[in-house]
Amino acid sequence: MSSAYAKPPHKPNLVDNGNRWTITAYNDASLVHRQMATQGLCFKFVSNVGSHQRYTWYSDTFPDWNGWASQEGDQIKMYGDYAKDVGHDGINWEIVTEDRPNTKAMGYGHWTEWRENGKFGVTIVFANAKLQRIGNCNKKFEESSALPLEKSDPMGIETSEKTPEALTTSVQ
Amino acid sequence: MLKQKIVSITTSLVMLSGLALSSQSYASPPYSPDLVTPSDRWKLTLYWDRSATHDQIPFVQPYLCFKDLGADDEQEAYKWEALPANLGSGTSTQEGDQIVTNGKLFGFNFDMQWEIYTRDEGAGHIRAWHPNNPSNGFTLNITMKRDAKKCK
Repeated sequence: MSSAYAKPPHKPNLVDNGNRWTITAYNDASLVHRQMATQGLCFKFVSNVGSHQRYTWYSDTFPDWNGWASQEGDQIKMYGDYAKDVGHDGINWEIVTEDRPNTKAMGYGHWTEWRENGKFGVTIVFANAKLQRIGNCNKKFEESSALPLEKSDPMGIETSEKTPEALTTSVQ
Repeated sequence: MLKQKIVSITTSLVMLSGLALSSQSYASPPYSPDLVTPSDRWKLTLYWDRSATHDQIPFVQPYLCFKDLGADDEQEAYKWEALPANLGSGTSTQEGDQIVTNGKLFGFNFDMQWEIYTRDEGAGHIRAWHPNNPSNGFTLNITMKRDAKKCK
């Protein structure tokens, strides 16, 4: 039975060849997939859970933004919280390109960000995502909550820039 | 006879109005980004999916030149030729950001499913096989990058 499903180790993974990745958002609703913010992410392997490799992650560019990631094959599923856990992110992506120390592996997928409002929630953006491994993290998790807050949300838009849908749902 | 003509014309008008209504009732082309704006030339790069390091296949980065054939119901249809042209050719369809591309390249038949993530970059998978040995195919990861230059 143990050989009946794919099981770890899955390679490439999120920490060999460097545990620091950048993630860049591209507004999926935009006709030109307008580029939005780029943030840094730090991954730490925790354990294998069945057919998955499980990691924790935190941002070293946006304060108090962190969560869990789970890998099966090349597919990565992530969730995380920010703004004292009122803001949330879900990211599904896949490692695509060559992954060697000098190649900076890239992955692509989808990234959704929203805030709670006691009702349907406030959509920040439904975005496409591009991720790239860029080395190793220097900042520790304990330092990440003290990062300066430059934008209200990790995708990098202010309230005035939110989509009509976000503004509509926020006042319901 | 006149009555039959009137019935026929009325039926045609009802059918036409039904078509017009149904064409607005679901997402339909044109989609944006597409494969030809602002450039119709894309560079294909291939990576061994079975490799633990997703090794790039060296020296194989053909350009694909797309030509828009127009809408086909919910999909936008294209044909493409590789650059240089004798490398291969085929067809593509687009629905939203999702693209299916197939044809022949370097003597292999292939079917490629990919998605446009940024305006000028996409990624996905390709399944390729030799026509003389279809059961012995291989699966690769791919990236597509729109080139600044247009095809002639």
